[in-house]
Amino acid sequence: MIHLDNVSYTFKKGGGVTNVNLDINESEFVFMIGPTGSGKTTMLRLIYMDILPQVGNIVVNKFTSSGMKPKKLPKLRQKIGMVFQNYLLMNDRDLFENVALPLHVLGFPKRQITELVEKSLDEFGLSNKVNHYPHELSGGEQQRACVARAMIKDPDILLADEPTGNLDPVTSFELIKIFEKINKAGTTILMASHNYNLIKGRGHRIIEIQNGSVRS
Amino acid sequence: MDKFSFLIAEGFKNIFRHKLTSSATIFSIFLTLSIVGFLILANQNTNKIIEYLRAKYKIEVFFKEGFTDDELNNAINQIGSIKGVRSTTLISKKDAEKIFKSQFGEDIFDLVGFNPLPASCVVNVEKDGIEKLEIMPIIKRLEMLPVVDEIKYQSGLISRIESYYERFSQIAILCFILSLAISIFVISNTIRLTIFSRKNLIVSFQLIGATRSFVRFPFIVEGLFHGFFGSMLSAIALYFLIDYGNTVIDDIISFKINFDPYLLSATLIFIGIMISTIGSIRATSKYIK
Ligand SMILES: Nc1ncnc2c1ncn2[C@@H]1O[C@H](COP(=O)(O)OP(=O)(O)OP(=O)(O)O)[C@@H](O)[C@H]1O
Ligand SMILES: [Mg+2]
Repeated sequence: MIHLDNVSYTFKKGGGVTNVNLDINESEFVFMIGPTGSGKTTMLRLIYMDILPQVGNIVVNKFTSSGMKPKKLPKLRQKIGMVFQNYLLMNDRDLFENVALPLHVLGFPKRQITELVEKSLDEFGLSNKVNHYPHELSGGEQQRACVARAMIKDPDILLADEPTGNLDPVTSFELIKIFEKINKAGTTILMASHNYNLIKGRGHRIIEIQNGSVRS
Repeated sequence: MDKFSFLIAEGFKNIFRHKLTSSATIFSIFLTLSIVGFLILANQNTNKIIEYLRAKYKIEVFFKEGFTDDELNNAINQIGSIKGVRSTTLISKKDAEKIFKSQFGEDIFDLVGFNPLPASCVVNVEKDGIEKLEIMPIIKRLEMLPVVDEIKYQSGLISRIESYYERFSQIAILCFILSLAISIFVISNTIRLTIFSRKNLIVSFQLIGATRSFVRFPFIVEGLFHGFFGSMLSAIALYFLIDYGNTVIDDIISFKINFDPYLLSATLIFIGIMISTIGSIRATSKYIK
């Protein structure tokens, strides 16, 4: 499902990832842990092809990074749900419209969108914030909104960058359980986190990243 | 279909989501196109002014004695066919006599015993459809006719008016082109700034899998609307300005600013929509990867 073959990417000012080999199978749940600045976000950006590797090759869902054309990116990303570390909610529209957006991109009919979004907001405990704009939500609420937006389209792959960073321990744990549920239903998950305690002993594969390299 | 109606709705919602930048765009379109519209009208009405003046030009042609009415009528026809002549009016010896009597209150016969007044003809020149009226070729043709004795016309005045008009209309066209160029510049820069402020949104849209056309479409709808609304406002403003102007001018001289409100609106709306939509497409393309 996700396949990184000797991938390197170095930013102009230094930092990035080097010589990464990684294979994630369909329906796997993988944690990626590592200290701040180790390259977790960079790895995820490479996987949703926001940046393309300078060395090596990435294959995600039959899309290959080498010779990737910008025109094909939407097709790749429409199958991937992404929880961004900095949320990237659209500040010009309310919570409901934010979560509904990926479904509009996919061309879902309006009635179905309303239904799905209401259900999802309910699941994430945001039903009473439907008409709030992102800046009218707390940090944790914005984070959950971002998770809801990533999951609304029932993606093949969920990439979550520090999705519990702004959540209290109880809510974090609830979120992990939600992830495990959709993982059971078939979604491949790659989640980056520093919080080892949250994820240890749950039977999922853990990969450790340090200084831009994977240590197994 | 659901996607299409969503994107249209998106475009309209964005106008209200981004009220401040929308009003800035509409305002800049309104302001610049009001000037463009004003200059279009100025260009149209310089014609009106020159037509008004040309209608007052006249060439008086006096005929030699001893030609029959037939011969004079023949000559009149020939004059009428000269290029640049609009109309001719024959004043026969009898007519001249009547005019003399009405002006001086005395019969010319009683004064000198015979009618010394020659037959003549008033020649009016073409007044519209020409850039610069050349009077000399007409005079030359008139002089060549055997029946013609003397020609009176205000040569200096006519040529001065004509060359002023020529220069004036060149400047008016130049101003119009300049104002159009400035409009394009100001409007597209306003749009560029407003879209720059939404750069991050465009990037986020693409990160969650929106295609380029999905991102661009609402901006086109917005561009269309801004262009339409801004230029509509300028057409309305000009309409009232001219309406007011006409009542003021009418009190001074009987001259009406000539304009077709529908044509003016259509022209301005066309220009507004073109600049605004193309500006939006170009500005968005800068941030769409
Ligand atoms: N756009 C960029 N330009 C230059 N350097 C960058 C850029 N993004 C990341 N880096 C550098 O690359 C390294 C890895 O960054 P990355 O964001 O992947 O870390 P991370 O593991 O996600 O950290 P955190 O846990 O704090 O989110 C860092 O040293 C960072 O300074
Ligand atoms: Mg990070």
